[in-house]
Amino acid sequence: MIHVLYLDDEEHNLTAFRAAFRRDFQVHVTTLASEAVRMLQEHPIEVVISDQKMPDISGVEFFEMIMSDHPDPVRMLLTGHADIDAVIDAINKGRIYKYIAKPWNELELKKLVEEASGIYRQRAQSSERSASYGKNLKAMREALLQLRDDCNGHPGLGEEKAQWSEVLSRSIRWIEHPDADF
Amino acid sequence: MLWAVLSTFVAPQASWAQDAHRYLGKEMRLLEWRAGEASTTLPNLNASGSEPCAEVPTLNASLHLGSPIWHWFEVDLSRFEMQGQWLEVASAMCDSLVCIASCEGRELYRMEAHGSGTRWHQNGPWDGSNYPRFPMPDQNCPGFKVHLGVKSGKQMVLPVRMERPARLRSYSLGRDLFFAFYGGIMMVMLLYNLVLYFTVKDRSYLLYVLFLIGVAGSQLFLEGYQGVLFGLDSSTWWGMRAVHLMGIFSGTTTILFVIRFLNLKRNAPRYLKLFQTFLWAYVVVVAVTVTGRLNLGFLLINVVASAALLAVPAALEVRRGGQKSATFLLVAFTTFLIAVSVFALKEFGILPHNQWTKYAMPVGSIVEVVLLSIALADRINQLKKESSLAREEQLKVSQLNEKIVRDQNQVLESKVLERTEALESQRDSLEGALKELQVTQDQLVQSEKLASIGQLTAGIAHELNNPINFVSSSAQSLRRDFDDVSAVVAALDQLHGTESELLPLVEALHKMLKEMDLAFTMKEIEELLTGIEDGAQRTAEIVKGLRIFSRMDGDAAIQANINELLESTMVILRSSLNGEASLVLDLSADDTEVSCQPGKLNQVFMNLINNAAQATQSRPSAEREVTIRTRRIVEGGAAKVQVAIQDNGVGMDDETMAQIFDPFFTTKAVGEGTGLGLSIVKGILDDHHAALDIQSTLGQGSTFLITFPA
Repeated sequence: MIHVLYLDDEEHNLTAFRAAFRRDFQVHVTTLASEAVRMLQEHPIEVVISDQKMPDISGVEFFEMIMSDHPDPVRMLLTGHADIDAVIDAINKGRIYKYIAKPWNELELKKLVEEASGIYRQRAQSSERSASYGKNLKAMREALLQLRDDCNGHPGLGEEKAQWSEVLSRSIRWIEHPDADF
Repeated sequence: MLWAVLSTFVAPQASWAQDAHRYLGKEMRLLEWRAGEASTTLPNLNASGSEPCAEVPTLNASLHLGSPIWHWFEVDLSRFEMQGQWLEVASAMCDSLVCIASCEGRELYRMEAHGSGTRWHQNGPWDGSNYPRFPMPDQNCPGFKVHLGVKSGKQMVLPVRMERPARLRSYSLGRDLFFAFYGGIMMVMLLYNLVLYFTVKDRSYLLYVLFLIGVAGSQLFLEGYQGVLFGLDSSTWWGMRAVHLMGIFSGTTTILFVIRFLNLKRNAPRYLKLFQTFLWAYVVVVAVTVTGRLNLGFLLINVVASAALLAVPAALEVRRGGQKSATFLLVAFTTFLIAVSVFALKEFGILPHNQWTKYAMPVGSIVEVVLLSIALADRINQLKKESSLAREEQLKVSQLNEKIVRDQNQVLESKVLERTEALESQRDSLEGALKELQVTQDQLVQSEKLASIGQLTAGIAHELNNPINFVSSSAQSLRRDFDDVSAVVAALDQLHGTESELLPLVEALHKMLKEMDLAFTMKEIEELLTGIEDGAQRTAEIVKGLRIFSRMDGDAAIQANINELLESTMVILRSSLNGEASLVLDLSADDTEVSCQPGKLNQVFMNLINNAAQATQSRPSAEREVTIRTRRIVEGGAAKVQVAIQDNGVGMDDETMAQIFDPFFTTKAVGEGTGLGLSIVKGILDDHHAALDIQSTLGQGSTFLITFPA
């Protein structure tokens, strides 16, 4: 289930949000920014929604605040009326994915949250893949190094020994510096 | 012509023309001449003179510088018949005469005559005549001689003749007639010009009259008429000096007249100087004459009289200067000078002594005065012409002026008309501009109003968004919860039948309840309902606030509660100022009702509170504070309601404070404010008779204090 975090100073909005989406998502709501940060640490939050206009902190400010520690969750800004400065700020500083106007349309919002989650998961998957690719390369390098050592120590190989060693060294170098010529 | 007339009347009796040869100069010999008295220094009667004299001998004054000299002549009359004859010295110029008749050196008798240029005192029938006359003896004596002593210091001629009394009387009559005519003419000229003087009041005429008296007087006095005319006796002081003084008078008046006539002061100033010098010279001559040096005086008079010569070049110069009348003077003086020259040449013996030379000077003077009189008349005409020309010119000028004035009036009228039209069109365009300005102002005021309405709508939109958001969202959730509850109710509705039948149903229900977490749902429903209620209430409040705030329609003043107005403004501002500054309300518990236009006051409050909030932006957001305070006070016996809007913002300096109510003054960036807000605020408060006081300290904040009459 998708974990969604919603920050708004208006309690009734939180209630309505939770009532609307609790059946579809794992909903985390709070009126406090500090609570929101705690929730981000405790739960695998994929989508963060914040109201823009709040007495203590603006939505954009909140997004900026969590950027360094929690860069992965997809961010969406919710606001009462179109405030062009807020939107520009949100895009430039808050790196938000979508901007949502109040009153929200439930279906639309649901779809947006799902899309955001999809993006989050895609990102996570690709980073996982690249991690495993790196791991494989590393293992392959180890194996090639082992093979080269074995090859060098093999007494039976005559003239071919130098040729093998050369090819193995080139392979290892290429793994270490993929941009260089093979 | 005059000459002809005189000749016609006088000549037949006087036989002027024929008497020239009768002078006895050829029979006379000058024996001696010396200074001294006659009685004591009689000449030697037997002495013989030298050469015979000229027909009319000349007595030379230059030899003895005017001091009186006795000239002794021997007159040989032996060739003439003397019975009943008289010896006449036809001159009035000498001082004294002594006539001694002798026969062969034996004195028969002697006779004396005294008087210079005046009546001669002598024995016998001729006493008192102009010329001295001496009777000749009855018997013929072969050695008869006459010795004639003449005392004179003047340059003169000595015309001596011997005639019978009838002939002498005839001569005398002719002479008298001539000078009577002469005097008459002069008198006519004099009176004529005197009348002119009194008529025209030109001083030239008076000078002319004086000049004329001088000229005529000189001529008459030279001929010895002063005694006949004025009874001046040569023995008296005046009588002795009459000729001199008249000569001086004549010279002086001539100079004055010339100066005046030629207007030398303007036309020839250097000649004026010369003439003035001559006038001073006359003063010297007067002194000489008065002190008794009569003959020297006479000499000097003749010398100084040459000043008249200067009149000719002066007149020429003036004439060259364009003065036409100078021609008359030129001719007149030239003529007179010619006459004088003739006289002088005669006196020096160069010209013969005859009637023509003798009367040249009076005739010349007549010509002179007549010409000058004509010149003056010409001057009158010229003056008249000039004055009439001047009058015409004046008339022309005045006509021209009139025309100019008329034209100017026309021009002025048209100009006035033009100007009026221009002014009217200007007024029209001004009115147009004013209307445009009013429209613009209205538009600006409207735009300021719209700005506040814009803020209002934005604020309200935001304020309404939240309740609408959760009300609508809650409603949908509530429906789903209701569906759940409905399902439970429906399941409960199925619960009937036997126990065995019920058991699986109850189990299914139980499972269902467990699945849907009904307790949670119920709690959620509760929350959602609360939210919906809350939202509905908040929406209602906002709408109410909006209604109070937006009473911008009616201009009519109504009783309204300031606190209520402020609260409604707060509803709008809270959302729009959200985060900008915290608003602190400190509203009075007392009655704050005032007569006002609520819509307009809300505009005022919103404007002032907005400004206050903006002023605090320099502070950290936690410190930004705007306090709105209301109080009911009593001031000067009248109840008042005060509203204070206080911020802890940047404050204002005096310069800014002095300008904040000026239209279009703004401290905001271009496009962010019309600069009209506070000027409209001031206008609205003035309409409410409300006082607005501002206290501000740079860096500490400002307080706007409004005092309404309650």
